[in-house]
Amino acid sequence: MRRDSRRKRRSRLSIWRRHWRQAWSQAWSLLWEKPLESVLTLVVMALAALPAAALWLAGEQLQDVELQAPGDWIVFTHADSREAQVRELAEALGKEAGVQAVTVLSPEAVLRQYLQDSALDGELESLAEGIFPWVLEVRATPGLTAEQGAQLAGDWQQRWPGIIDQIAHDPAWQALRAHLGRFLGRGLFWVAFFSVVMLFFVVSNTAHLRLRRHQAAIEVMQVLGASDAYLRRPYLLASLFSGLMAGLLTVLLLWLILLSLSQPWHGLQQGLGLPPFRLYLAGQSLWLWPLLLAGLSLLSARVSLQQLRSE
Amino acid sequence: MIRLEQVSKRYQGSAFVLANISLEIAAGEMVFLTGHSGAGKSTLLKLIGLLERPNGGRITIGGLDIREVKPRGIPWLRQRMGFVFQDFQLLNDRNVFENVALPLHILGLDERDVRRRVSAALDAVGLVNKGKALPRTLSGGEQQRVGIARAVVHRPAILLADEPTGNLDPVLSREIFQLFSHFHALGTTLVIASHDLALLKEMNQRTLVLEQGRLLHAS
Repeated sequence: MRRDSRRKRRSRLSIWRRHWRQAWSQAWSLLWEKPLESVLTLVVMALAALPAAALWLAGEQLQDVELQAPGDWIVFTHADSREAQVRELAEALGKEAGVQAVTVLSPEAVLRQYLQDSALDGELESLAEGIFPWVLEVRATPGLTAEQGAQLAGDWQQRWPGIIDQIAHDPAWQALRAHLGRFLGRGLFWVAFFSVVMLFFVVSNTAHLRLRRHQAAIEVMQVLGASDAYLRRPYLLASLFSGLMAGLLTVLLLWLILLSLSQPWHGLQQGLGLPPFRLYLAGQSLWLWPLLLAGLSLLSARVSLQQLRSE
Repeated sequence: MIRLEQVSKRYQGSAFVLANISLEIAAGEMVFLTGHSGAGKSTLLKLIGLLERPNGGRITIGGLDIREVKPRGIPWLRQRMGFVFQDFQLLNDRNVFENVALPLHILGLDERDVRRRVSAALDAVGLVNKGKALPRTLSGGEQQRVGIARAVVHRPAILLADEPTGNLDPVLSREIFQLFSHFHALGTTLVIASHDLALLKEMNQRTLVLEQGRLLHAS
């Protein structure tokens, strides 16, 4: 009895294996029966996915820049701090790990910069001296993360509470970063949304056309006792393969674009102390992109098959 | 083997194609369905072959009430039947061997078994040398013989044929009917729809006459 059930299970497994082998070979035939159509589908899918991947990648680099270059700190001293104390502090900060350079700005220099920045040159010259405190501009070493930077600032405030009033990041850099982040975030959302919609239609349409072309054969196979899963499998596998290939093509295209941008990026990297460009997407390697596209492709084909079945 | 009780069928927006059909076909029997075009012969075959569902009545196949069969079980039942069509329904992008092998691939048989059984089926219909030919290169009679080989290759218990000689001349029709007799002798239950009265008379088997969806008489 037990031997019988084992034999039955083994036989079921070998049938399942044979069905999968047949499905792979049929999927392969489906892809090759109209090679031009298959290639065009791949290209359209890859082009549809490219903007989303590119924008996402740009967002990742921005995040890297944000993480790896915390910008300059501005250390405001108390109003009653004396020059000697401030210069002592500057010297001490200059020796701190993570600090590249420290510039001391006197209250007069801060006033001049303020008047220049606010286009009030000359009008406030009559203001009494001492309205601004001594300020230190501290530049971080490249590679220091924002988190490490914030930790250092908190540490300095604790160590020199009598001199340091507050520490701020460069406001212009912070504002730019925030705007860029919002812009890229929204842009990415819409581009990704339309890419997904377009991909969905391309894949559904291809699966639909393939099915229509083979409708007569499908009907005959149904009469001969083919199950829905048996009939569906080659079409799903063909779509999965198309998605995988389109994903690889997207990564290849992105890589070529990045290759052409590598020279100017290298210049920026040297000048601004930016990190090298990385092929990362949502924290994961961009090489996962083909899997993402294959999954989406499979889902679209599945929906299309379901729709045809209900017709 | 096959039992129909008060079976009715109507398509959406049309009158009844079949009304209150009751009949019984024993295992190993050969039965002919005849009648004018539109009498309901094809619909009756489709009901037996589970290609359509009845609107009323009960169909039992091998003791199994088909109302109790879940959609997932329908392919399993169809795998135990063979179908022969008037227009052959061969896949033109596959050769004769591949067409005949279809039911065996669906059953998941291994390639050695498939080769052996397809060769035997092609031998039985006299086409053993045409395995590599594409269906469109064959004559009508040969194509129908491929259709029959495909219908019997998996040794079904029931063979359903819808006007199998409708597109063939009398000589070829007689050859096809001889093939059916051969499979009948091997114990297969056959239900064949045909309006070739002369041939039916010659076959001397039970014949059911349908007219406007009703069973007139059995002879």
